[in-house]
Amino acid sequence: MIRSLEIGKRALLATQRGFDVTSNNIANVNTPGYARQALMLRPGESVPAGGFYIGMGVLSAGIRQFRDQLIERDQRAYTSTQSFYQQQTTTLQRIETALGEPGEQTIQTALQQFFDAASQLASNPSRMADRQLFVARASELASTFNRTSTALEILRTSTFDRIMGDVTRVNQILDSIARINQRINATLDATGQPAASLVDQQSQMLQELSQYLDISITREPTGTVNVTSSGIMLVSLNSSLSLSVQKNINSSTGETTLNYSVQKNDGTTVGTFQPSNGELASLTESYNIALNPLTASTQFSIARELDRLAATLADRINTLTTSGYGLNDTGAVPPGRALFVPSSGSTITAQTISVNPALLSDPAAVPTSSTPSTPGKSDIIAAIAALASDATFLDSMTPEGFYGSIASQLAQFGASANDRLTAAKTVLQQITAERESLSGVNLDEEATNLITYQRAFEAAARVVSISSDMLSTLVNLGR
Amino acid sequence: MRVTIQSLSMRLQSTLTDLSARQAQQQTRIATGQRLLQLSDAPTDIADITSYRSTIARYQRYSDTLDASLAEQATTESALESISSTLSSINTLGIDALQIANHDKWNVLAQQLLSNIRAIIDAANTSHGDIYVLAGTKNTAAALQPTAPEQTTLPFELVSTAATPSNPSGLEVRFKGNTEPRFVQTGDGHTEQVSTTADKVFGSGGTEVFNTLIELYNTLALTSSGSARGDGQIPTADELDRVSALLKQIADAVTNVNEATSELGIRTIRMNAQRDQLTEDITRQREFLSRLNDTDIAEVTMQLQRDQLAYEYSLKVGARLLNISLFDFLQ
Repeated sequence: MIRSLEIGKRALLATQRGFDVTSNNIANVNTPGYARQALMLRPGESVPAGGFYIGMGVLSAGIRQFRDQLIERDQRAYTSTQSFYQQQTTTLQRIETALGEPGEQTIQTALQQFFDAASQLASNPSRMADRQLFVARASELASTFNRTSTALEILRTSTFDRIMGDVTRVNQILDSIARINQRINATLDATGQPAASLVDQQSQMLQELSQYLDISITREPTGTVNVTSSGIMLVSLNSSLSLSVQKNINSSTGETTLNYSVQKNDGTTVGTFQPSNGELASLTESYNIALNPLTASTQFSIARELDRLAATLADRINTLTTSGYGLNDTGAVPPGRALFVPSSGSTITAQTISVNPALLSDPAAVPTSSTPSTPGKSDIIAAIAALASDATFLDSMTPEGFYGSIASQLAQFGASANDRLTAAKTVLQQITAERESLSGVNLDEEATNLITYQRAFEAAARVVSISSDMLSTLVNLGR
Repeated sequence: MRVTIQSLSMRLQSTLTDLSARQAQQQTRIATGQRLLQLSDAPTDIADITSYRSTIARYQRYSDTLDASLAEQATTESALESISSTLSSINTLGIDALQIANHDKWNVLAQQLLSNIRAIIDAANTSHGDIYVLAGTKNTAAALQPTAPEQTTLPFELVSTAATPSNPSGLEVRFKGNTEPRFVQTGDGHTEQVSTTADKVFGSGGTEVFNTLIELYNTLALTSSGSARGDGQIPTADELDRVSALLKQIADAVTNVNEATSELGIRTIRMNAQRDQLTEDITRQREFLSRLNDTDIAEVTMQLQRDQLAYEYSLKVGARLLNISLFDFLQ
C-alpha cells in the first residue's frame, strides 16, 4: 500500500510541475524571445515485488525548451540584413527630403530659374529690373545649395549621434551576454542544463545584437555563448570587449571619417573593427561615404556630387563674369567681378557658395558684356545662359542633367534598398514563423495540457485517496 | 505546422501595416495628383522626368526670349516704316524742288526738309522699354552721355557746329550708339540677331544718310556763297545737278531701309515659326511628363478600393482568429 501511496505522490508532484510549466507558458504567451517549455517525464525505476518488477510511478526528467539553434542563427543573420537595408532606406529617404525630391523647391528648380533670369537678362542686359532678378535668382540658387548641404550635414551629424547611441547599446548587450554566461554557469540544473529563462534572455540579447552587427556564435555544452563579429570575439564566456568610435580627421584634406576600435575593460585596445552588416554598418557607410563631401571612395556620395555641381557652376560662371564689364564699367581692363564667392574659406562648395556682395548691392555691376561701355552687349550673360544647354558642363552632362543623374542614382539606390529590404523582411518573416511554429506558445495546446494535467492530478489524488482507504482497511483488519 | 497567437498576430500586424501604408500612398497620390511620392517609386522614370522638366524649362526660356524679341522687332519695324516713309517724302520733296515751278521755293522746301530730318531722327531714336532699338549695344541713356555740342542722351541728335565750306549750315547728325548687333539665344546652340544696326539703315557709321540729307538741306537753304537763300531766289545749274545726284543717294537710302525692313520681317517670321515650334514641343514634352508624373486617378481609386476592402476583411478575420481559443469553452 505504501508503494501505491508513493506512486500517487510522485504522480501528484509530476502533474503539479507539468501544471507549473503550462502556466508559465501561458504567462509568457506574449514575451518576446520566449521559447515554450514542456515537462519531460520518465517512468520511475521498477522494483521487485513477488517475483515481478513493478513500476514506481512517474518522475520529472527535466524541462525541455523548444528551440532550434539553426533557425535562430538564420533569424539573427536576416535580422542583420533587414536592419542594414531598413537603415539604408531610412537614410536615403532623409536624403530625398533634404533635396526636396520629388518636389518643386529643388536645386533643379533653382537652376532653371537662374538660367531663366540669365536668358531674360541676355535679351536686355541694360534693364535694371532684369539685373535685379538675375542677382536674386543667383542668390536663391546659392541659398538652395546652402540649405540642401546644411540638411545633409545635419543628417550626417544625426547619423553620428545614432552611431554613438547604437555603440552604447551594443556595449550594454555585450556586457549583458557575458553576465548571462556567468549566471548560466552558476545555475546549471541537476541535468547540467541552464535555466530556461536565462537561455531566453540570452537569445533575446543575441537577437537584439544582430540588429546592430553581423554576429556569429559558438555555443559551449553548458549553454554559454561566445560572440564573434567581423572576425573579433566580442564575448568570450564571462568577459566581453567594448566598441568605441573615433572620428579621424585627415590633416591634408580635412575629411572626417569614423573608425571603430575594440577595447578590453581596462581600456587596452585589442584592435580595429569594421561592421559589415546590420544597422551600424549602414550608418557607418552613410557617414563615411554617402554623406561625406570629401570622400575619396568611388562609391556614390550625394554630398560630394552636390559640391562638384556647385563648384563647377561657380567656376564656369566666374570665368565668364571676371572677363566681363558691368553696366557702368568704362575701363580698358575688366574689373574682374566673380558672381559666386565662398561665404567662408577659399573653396566654393554647396555649403559655402554665395553671391558676391558687391553684385548683390549693385546689380548694375553684374558683368554682361565683354567690352566696356556697351550696356546692350550681352555676350557674357548669354554665355552664362547657354551653360544651361552645355552638354559638356560636368561629366558630359548639362547642369540640370547632372543634377538629374544625382536624383536618378538616389532613386536607383532607394529602389534597390527597398527591394532588398522587402526580400529580407519576407525571409525573416518566414524564419520567424518557423521559429514561432516551433517555439511559440499555442494557447489551445496549453489549454489541452491544462486539462490533461488537471485530469492526471485528479486521478493521482484518487490513487492516493483509494490507497489511503485501502491502507485504513488493512490497518483495521485486526479490530 | 503549429500556429500560435504570436504568429497570427505578427502576420495580421504585418498585413495591416502594409495595407495601411498602401492606402495612405493611394490617398496621397489622389490628393496631390502626383504618381511619384518618392524617388525610389520609379527609379527608371526619374531620369526621364528630370530630363523632361529641364527640357520644358529650357524651351519655355527660349519661347519667352522669342516673345520679348518679337515685341522689339515690332517696335523696330514701326520705326523703320516711319523712316522709310519720311525718306520717301524727302525724295518727293527733292523731285518737287527740281521742278521749275518750285525753283523759287527752295528756302521753303529746305524748312520742310529740316522738319523731315528731325522726324527721321525721332524715329531713329525709338525706344523699346529702356533701350534704343537702333543704337546697337550702346543703347541706354546712361551709355549715351553727350559731349558738346550734343545735349541729349539720345542716340541720334541734330547739333549745330561751326560752319565749314563743305557744310555751310554747320548742321550735323551725331550718332552716339554703335553698330554692334545684339543676339539672343533662341534654341540649343542657336542664336538670333534681334537688333537692326544703324549702319544697315543709315549707311556707314549710322550717319551717311543724314550727311546726304544735310547736304540736300544746305543746297536748298543756302546759296553757293553760303548765305541764306531768299524768297524767289532761283538755283544755279550746279545746284540743280547736285540735288539730282543727292536724290539718287536718297532713293538708294530708301531701298536700304526697305531691305532692312524686309530682313526684319523675314527674321520676325522665322522667330514666330520658332516660337510656334517651341510651343508645340513644350506641349508634347508636358504630355510625356504627365504620363510619367501624374496620377491615373481611375486606376488609383480602384486600387484604393481594393486595399480598403482587403484592410476591412483583414481586420474582421484577424479579430475572429485572435478572439477565440479553447479557454473560451472550458468550464
